[in-house]
Amino acid sequence: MSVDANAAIPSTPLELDEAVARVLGRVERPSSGNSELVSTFEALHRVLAADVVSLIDVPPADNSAMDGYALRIADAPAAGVVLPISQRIPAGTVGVALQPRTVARIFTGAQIPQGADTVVMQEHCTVMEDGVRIDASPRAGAAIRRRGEDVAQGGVVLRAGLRLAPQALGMAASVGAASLQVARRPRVALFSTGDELAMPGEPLKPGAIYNSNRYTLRGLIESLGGVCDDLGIVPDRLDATREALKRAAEGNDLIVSCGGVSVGEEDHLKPAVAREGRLDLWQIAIKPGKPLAFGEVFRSDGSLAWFIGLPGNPVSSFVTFLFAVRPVLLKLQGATELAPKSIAMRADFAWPRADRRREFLRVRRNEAGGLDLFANQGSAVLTSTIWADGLVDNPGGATIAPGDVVRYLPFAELLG
Amino acid sequence: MSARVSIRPDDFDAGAEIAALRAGDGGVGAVAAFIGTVRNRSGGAEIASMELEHYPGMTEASIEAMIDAAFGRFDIRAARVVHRVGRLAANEQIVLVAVASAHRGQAFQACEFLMDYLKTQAPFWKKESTSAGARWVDARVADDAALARWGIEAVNASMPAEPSS
Amino acid sequence: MKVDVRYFASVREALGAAETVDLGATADVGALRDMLTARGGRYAETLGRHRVLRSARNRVLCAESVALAEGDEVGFFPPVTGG
Repeated sequence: MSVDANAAIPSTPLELDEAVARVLGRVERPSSGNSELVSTFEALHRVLAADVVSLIDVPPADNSAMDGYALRIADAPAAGVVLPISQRIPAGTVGVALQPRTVARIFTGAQIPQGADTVVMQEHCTVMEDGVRIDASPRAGAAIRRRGEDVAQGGVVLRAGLRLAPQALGMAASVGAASLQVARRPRVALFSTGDELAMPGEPLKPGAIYNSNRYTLRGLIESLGGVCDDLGIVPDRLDATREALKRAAEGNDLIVSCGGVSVGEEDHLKPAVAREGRLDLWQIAIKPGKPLAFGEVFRSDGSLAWFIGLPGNPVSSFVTFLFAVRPVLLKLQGATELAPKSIAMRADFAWPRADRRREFLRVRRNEAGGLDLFANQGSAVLTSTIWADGLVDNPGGATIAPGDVVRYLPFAELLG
Repeated sequence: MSARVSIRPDDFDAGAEIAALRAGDGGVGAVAAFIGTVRNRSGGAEIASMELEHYPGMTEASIEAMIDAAFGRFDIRAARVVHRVGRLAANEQIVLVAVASAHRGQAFQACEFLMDYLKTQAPFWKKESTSAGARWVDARVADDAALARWGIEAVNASMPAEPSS
Repeated sequence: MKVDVRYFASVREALGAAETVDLGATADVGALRDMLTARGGRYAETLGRHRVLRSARNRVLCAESVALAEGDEVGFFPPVTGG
C-alpha cells in the first residue's frame, strides 16, 4: 500500500458547517508573540492583537456642554438673580477659579472653572447692564460633561480580536494611541493546477481557458488581510506538483490551490498533497461548490503549513473561498468574529426548485427593499457574481416564494 | 472520513463530545470516557509547558485502525478519540477516549484497550519544558506490558526481540 | 531505488525533518537504517543500533525486516509517547 492511499476517497456529503468546524478546529490562533507594532495610520483592516487602553480620561476634565454661564448654585438660589461676569472662558482655554457671587462666560467644550457646580445655557439668561440675570432655576451639574464619562483612563476602548475599520483608527487616536499591536498578516501561497489554463494576454489555444481564479483568489486573500505568495499555474505532473507544494509551504502559513479536487479529475494534486503531508477530501453538500480538500504540508523543518484545495469552477471557488477560507484567514489573525452576519430580507423572486443541498444564490437588493435573483444560477461564469451584491443562504430542500424572508449575506460583509 | 478521530491544537469539551457520541442512539446504555491531562511536575521540576509532535497522515490512520480493532474485539456502538497537538500548558487536557456500548463491561474494556494501544502505537512525541530546560519524554516499558495484556505483541519502548539483518 | 525518509522528535532535531535517499538495489528498512548510520557523525549517534527506534513504511508501523519499494516513505522516530 503506498502513501497515495492516504488521499482519502470522497465520502458521503458533509454539511458545510461541519466541514468549516473541522478546518477551523485544526488551525491555531496566533500565539502571543506573533504580532507587530504598527503606526495607527497603517492599521486599517488589521486585527488587534492587544486591547487598546485609553491613556487619558475622555473628556480630560469637567467641561461645558453648552454655551452659557458657569456659576455656583448657592449664588443663584432662585430665578431672577443678577450676577456680574468675572471672566470669559472660550473652548481650549482654562479659566481661573470662579470668584464667588459671579458667573464665568463659558463656551461648549471649555473646562469648568474651579468652584462652579453648574452651567446655565445662554438661552435661559439675559444680559443686563450690571451682569447676567439667571432666568431659570439652576440645577446642580446641569450642562456639565464629567471628566472620564466617555472613557476612563485605563479603560479598554477597543478589544483584541477586532478587525479595524476606519472609525476604530480614529477611536484609538482619540485616546492617545499612536501605534497599535496587531496580528501579523498571514502568508498565503496560491497556485492553480491544470494544463488547460492560460494567462490573459496570451492567445487562447483550442481547449484552453483563461485563468480567472488566480485573480479572484489573490484579491480575496489580500482583502482579508493575507499576504499572497502567488505561485501561478503548476503543470499537472506529480513531480511538479510535489515541488510546488514544498515551495509553497516554506515561509507560508496557508496554501490555497484551485482545481484538481473534483472526483474523477485527471490530476496529481491529491496524491501530491498526501505524499507531502496529509489530505482529506470532502464533498460538501452545497451548491455551487462541492469538492473541498483540506490538509497539511510539511515544511523542511518538519513544521506544517495548512492546505486548502478549492474547486476549479470560478463561481464554485469564489463561494467556497468565502465560507471555507475566509474564516481561516481571520482565525490566523486572531479575529473574534469569524462567521459572517446575515440579514433577514424579503425575496422578491421565486425559487421553486429546491435542491437537496444548501444553495448560495446570487442576488441583488432592489429599490423596493427586497432582493432580486440573477436568472442564470447554473453558469460557471462570474457574471452572476458581478451583477449580485450578495448571496442568499438557502437551506437544502427549501423553496422560496416572493415575499418570503431569506438569509442575505452581503458581499461587503464577506469580502472584508 | 471520520468523525471518530480528531487531531487538533484546540481544546475539547468532553461533555459535548460524549453527548454527540450518544446522540440519536437509543441502544446506548453505557459510555466510558478517559481524559489524559498534562501533569504539572516531572522529575521534581514544575512543568511550564509541553510540545506534542505527531506524524500527520499516520496519526489519524493509526488511531482509526485501533478503533476498528476495538470494534472487532468488543461489543461497542461508537467510539471517539480526540488528541491535541502543539503547545499545551500544565494541567491542560491532552486526549479524550470515549466509547459507547449497551453495557458497562464492554465500554470500560474498550476504553482501556484504546488507551493502552494509543499510548504505545500512535505516533505522538511529548517534549516537556521546565525551568531546567526542555526534554523529550521517554516511553515506558511498562506501557508495552499493558498492551501485551490484550494479546498484542507489538513493542514500543523495548529493544526488538531479534536483531536486524 | 529512491525513498523519502522523514524523521520525528529527537531524531528530527538531530538530523532534520526529511531527506530523499538513493538505496541502490532492493533493501529493507533495516538496511536503510544501517546505510544512514554508516554516514557516521550525528547519523551514527542518532540511528545507531544502540538506540531504540521505531520505523514506519508508508505511514504504517513496521519491523525493520520489511522490504522497501521505489518511492516509499519511511519514518524513523523514537518510541512513541502519546496519550
